[in-house]
Amino acid sequence: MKSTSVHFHANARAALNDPVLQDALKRLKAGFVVKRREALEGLPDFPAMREAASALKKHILDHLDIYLEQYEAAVRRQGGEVHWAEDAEQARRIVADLCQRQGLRRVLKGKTMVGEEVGLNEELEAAGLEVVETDLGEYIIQLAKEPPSHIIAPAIHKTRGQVGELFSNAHDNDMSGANAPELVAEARRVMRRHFLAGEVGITGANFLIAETGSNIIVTNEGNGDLSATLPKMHIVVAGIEKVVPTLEDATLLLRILARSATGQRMTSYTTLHTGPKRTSDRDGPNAYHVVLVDNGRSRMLTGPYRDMLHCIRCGACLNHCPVYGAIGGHAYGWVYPGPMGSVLTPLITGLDQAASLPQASSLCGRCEAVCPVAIPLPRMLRELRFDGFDQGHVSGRGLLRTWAFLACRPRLYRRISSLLLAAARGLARRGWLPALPGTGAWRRARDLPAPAAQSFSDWWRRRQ
Amino acid sequence: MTSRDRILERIRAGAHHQVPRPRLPEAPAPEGDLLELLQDNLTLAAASHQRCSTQELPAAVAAYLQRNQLPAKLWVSDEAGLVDFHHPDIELHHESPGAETSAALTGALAGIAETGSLVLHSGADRRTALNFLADHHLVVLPVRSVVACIEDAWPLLRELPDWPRTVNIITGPSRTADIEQTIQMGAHGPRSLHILLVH
Amino acid sequence: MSSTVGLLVTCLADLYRPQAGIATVQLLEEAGFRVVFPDQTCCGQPGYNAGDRDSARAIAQRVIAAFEGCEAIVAPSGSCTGMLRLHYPQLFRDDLSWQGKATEFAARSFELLEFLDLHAPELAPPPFPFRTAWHESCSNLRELNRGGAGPRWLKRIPELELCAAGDPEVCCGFGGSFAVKFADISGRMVDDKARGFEEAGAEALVGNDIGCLLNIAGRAHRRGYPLRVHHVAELLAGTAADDPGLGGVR
Repeated sequence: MKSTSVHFHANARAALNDPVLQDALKRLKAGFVVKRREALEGLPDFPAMREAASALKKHILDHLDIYLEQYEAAVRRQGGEVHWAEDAEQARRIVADLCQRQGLRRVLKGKTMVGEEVGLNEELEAAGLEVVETDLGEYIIQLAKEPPSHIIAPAIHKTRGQVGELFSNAHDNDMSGANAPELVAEARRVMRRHFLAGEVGITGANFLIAETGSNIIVTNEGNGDLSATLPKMHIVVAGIEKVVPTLEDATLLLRILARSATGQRMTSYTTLHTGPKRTSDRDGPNAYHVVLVDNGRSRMLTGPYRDMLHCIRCGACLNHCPVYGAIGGHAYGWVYPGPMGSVLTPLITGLDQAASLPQASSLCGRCEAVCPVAIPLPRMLRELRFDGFDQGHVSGRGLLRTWAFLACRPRLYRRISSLLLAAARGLARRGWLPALPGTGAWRRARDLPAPAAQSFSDWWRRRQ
Repeated sequence: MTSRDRILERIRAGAHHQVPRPRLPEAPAPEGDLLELLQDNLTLAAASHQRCSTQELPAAVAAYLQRNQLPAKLWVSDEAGLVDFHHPDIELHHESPGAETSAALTGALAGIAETGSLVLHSGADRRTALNFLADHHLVVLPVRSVVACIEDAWPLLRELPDWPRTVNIITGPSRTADIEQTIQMGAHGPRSLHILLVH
Repeated sequence: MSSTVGLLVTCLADLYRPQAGIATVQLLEEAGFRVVFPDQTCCGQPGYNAGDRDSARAIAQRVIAAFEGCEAIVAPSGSCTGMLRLHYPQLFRDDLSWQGKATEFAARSFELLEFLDLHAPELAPPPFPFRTAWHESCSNLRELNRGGAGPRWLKRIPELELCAAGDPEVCCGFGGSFAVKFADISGRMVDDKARGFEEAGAEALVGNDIGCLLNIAGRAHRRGYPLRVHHVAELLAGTAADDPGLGGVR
């Protein structure tokens, strides 16, 4: 998917002025934040589990080659095939080739963020395949021709009315003015036909189990299961960091994933798929393929961004981020929004394509506080700012360097600040400053108090 | 060099095989009666349940269909325990489920008290599609098959003669919150999940 | 002989709210400490958060050197204390010659209320007869793990009616240069924050980070919501009741 992260400022401004989006974002808090809090209240061991999950991820990453090879061998033992994709283009090609080689045309897709990351749909459609997103949220944004705005609730920015219009245009039914249950029933009706006709099912994976060669998907709708069960071929697309050693390890992560994501203890469906159908099985696909996607991940293993590979894509950092809450996901311009996206996007697409994202944070730290695998997101945003500064992507370098020059020279600093104070005092009206050059951005939303008549430093020197 | 080799080579530059495997936290050990806990958690997950004996099972299923004004048709799994299932008023189907499947009856390997979940798996005598295509999914769970926590389910699966293609851990009916964050049941899978706890 | 405490007044309090610094001096002296005020400007956070690591290091080295000989360094700010305590050691993690000094300096650095909790727990502040809300700054809450400490002090002030407002977990949108670089987003955040205090009927807002307080005071003023904004040191030292607060006319 093409990134528009370079236009972050304009994107954000548009989002702030979009009343429909702003209404949708208000629901985020009641929907996710409150439910997560309630779910964690019933889990007194959460801090210990969080620590263990983080330690487990550290162990896995330090043995990633071993676990991936174990996983690959286990998949092969069960009759599946594993493909390795170094970048987005290779991942797309592998999937398209698998479909085309077998002459399979009708593709059902379960929700996969890595699929969005590598731009799977565009490639498959260009290859003449018919691609249907089967997750309701993904289906809605597919009809709207938009990228997801949230990693677990892709259509969170859409209202009922907008969904009704999209359905009316795409289906043979007038759904304008329909309520939520009617819309869900309509999607179910239409999607049933697709499910029964699908030839290839593509899903993501929440975890890959090295022990058994299974992929685990965690869903609520059941669309992923239908996509993986009914077609002739099941293709799993997953990042290389998804592997865990055993089912017991996966259990720890499962326990914190749904609680952090939707506030559920377990989602409706936690499913393990292992290889194709066995010869005697009554149903299931005849072929099972896994595409392991690197796309910048192995590079992240060395250097300061390694912990980002802990991410289990729960979305808690988005839900609790005040910046995400103000502008929603599309403003970030690519697949992953919010704090995790502000780290991942520059790392995958290049810092020059997304230099604003690491800056667009007050570094309030709530993302790290809610992260179930304790990723130090503010530290990573700062690291990216260091990189951005070194690579010349930070505006106002001159001003920063001037400030630093003065900050290292207290006497000069004091003299200049005294002059500025006196000037500001002369201009102040009733304790507040009028519009002065350089105060425009601050004053767009708030007033600026006049500085003090006498600085603390001056007071101190008089007192001595 | 293949892509696989190149990826693994890059990984090896950062994977030093030194960070030890942490001890996992103890699996939760629920206090009190597991069956009661399972029942409470089924309700929390929006699944309904009832208790009955093996003899009462056909009548209980028939009553469920009637209560929910469903056609007297049932897509039934062929697994042991359900092979002999019959009721004079219910038309049984053993073929693949489809758009017309109003109700399906399957067994389960285990029930997980901690989460109110059911563990089902694929095999030669059952169809995974039954778990997802029916409007109403009825699951027969022997009360002796209730385990405490998720971890307790894995040994049961490892003991199977072959590792199954599909393992479904099902916690309540299908749902979605993709429209305005309001939860709706029956997104693509069953609208209702009903557990028959058989003693 | 009494111990020597170095005051790091913070650049914002120096220029915008010297009253907070003056009150801090008074509180520390009343608690029996000798207060010194070494030559200083700023802790280096603006450069640090903008990605200018070299400048931040240069400033940090000056600060560490300036406070040599002080048994403790006290800052009336959660944010600057977080910088001294958590980020100075990070800045020098690859510099062996400074790493030890930064870590040792971090261990001597305290946020004002934290220091008073340790050394002046019996302090009896004078009355402040206003319906007052506490602003929990993010650094206070999550960097220093000092959430709730402010309200505990406010509860000890006679005639002060403490009111709970908004969600203390949520940032006010200041974030240093964030407020200027992303003025629209920051503006939305601070509006939410100010409205929370307004809806709770707060007459006064008190906190320990002048940056956040400037931000919220500025938004309240723009909304036409009369709000007295003070640093908590002013309340504890008894200088707030007769002062109109940030932006107020004297």
